[in-house]
Amino acid sequence: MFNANFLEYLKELLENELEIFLENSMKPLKESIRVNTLKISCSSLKNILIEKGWKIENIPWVDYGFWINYSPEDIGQTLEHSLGYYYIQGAMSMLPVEILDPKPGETILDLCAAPGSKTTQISQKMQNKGIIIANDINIKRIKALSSNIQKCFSINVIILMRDGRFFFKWFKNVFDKVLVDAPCSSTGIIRKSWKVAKKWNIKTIERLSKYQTQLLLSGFDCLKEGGILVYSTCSICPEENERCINNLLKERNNAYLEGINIKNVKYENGITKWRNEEYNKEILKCIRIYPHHNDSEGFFIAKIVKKND
Amino acid sequence: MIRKLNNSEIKQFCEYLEKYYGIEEEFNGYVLLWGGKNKIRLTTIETYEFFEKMKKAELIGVYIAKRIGIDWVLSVEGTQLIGYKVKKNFIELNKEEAEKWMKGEPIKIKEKIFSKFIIGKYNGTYLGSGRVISNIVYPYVSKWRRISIE
Repeated sequence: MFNANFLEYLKELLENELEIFLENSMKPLKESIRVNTLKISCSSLKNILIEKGWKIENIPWVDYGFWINYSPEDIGQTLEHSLGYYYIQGAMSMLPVEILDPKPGETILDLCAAPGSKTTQISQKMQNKGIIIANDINIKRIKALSSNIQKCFSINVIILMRDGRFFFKWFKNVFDKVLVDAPCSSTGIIRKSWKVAKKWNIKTIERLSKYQTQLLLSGFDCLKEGGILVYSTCSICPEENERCINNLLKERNNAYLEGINIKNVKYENGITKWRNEEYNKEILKCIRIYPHHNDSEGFFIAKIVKKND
Repeated sequence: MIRKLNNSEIKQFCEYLEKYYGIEEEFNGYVLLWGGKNKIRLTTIETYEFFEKMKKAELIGVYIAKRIGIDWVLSVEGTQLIGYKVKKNFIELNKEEAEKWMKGEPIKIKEKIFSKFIIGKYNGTYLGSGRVISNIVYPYVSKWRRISIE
């Protein structure tokens, strides 16, 4: 299932945790949903689902998410799903937006928005007040994004289709908050697709790392002074995470990392040494979540503030 | 090309809603836009003001209705927004019918309906519009959101 190079890489990265990581990667990912509070309250949907025989459990780090322990029907083929009452979303994938903490009235950029899980989550946190620019480069993914925005009734969203790496050219110093949920190797979600472990190669990781750094720099330049950027990936590879943050700190002297305060989530700090690279010590403020920590997807999250030049 | 509905178009739309559904709605606090394919989209004032300053955007807001000939047909989200004000030309569906509706399957109705379009309602929520031909309703549900038929 894992190619040999990837296994070597994981051994080096995870050391003692390798075994538990591998064991966890064989288990299917628990299904989870996010209640679309723009259309229905959590308690109302919970009642409807329980009445239909679903067995659900609160996700401890969001107050509008449920794990589905049992459902008598396909959760993607229900009346409630079709009406936009809930969105099928990975439990840990709800965390970056929680950390971004969108507020009604803010102007927010979701730089790599498709298929719209996080855009629609931002919109519900803003109660449709304020503005969201949801951008993606790929036309097929834009279609999925617009469908999800429609179904979730996120009326405060403008969709753009531009290369995120050059976004700063049009929107420099515009946004209160920016989410860069960068395209990645998905090594945190092997449980979802084993192809990731089979096809992994370091060349792709290096290529992605360059692209992710460019997206991060562009997103950062779109922030107003005092603005907050959250960078996240569902990869556990330091090249796609800590290295990109390190590049940002080197390139922009007004970028500062903020500590992340989240309850009920097990995580580790960002790493400051990987192979022959040494990173800024501030990177300890980032968080790495491995799939075995919370029986979820793996994620990396950094919170960055733009201070005065 | 996305453009704002002018006052006369908004008036026509609102008058239609009142005449055919008994819905009194002026969309205050929102902006209505033409979004291509005769679709009306809805957004907030501040989102529209931001949009106006930009040279190009793919899409804005949410599709709430479509102009078909002289009729204005409400989408699922359109009916979820203002359906609670509907006084006529709607049908109460049971659970099985609601599921059939969201599969896009035709639904036989007992009562005689004289309007071309009707709003579907189930358990306090609204499921969009359907076309009525004799005593059968053909629901308008986009393919991408339909419950799949096993």
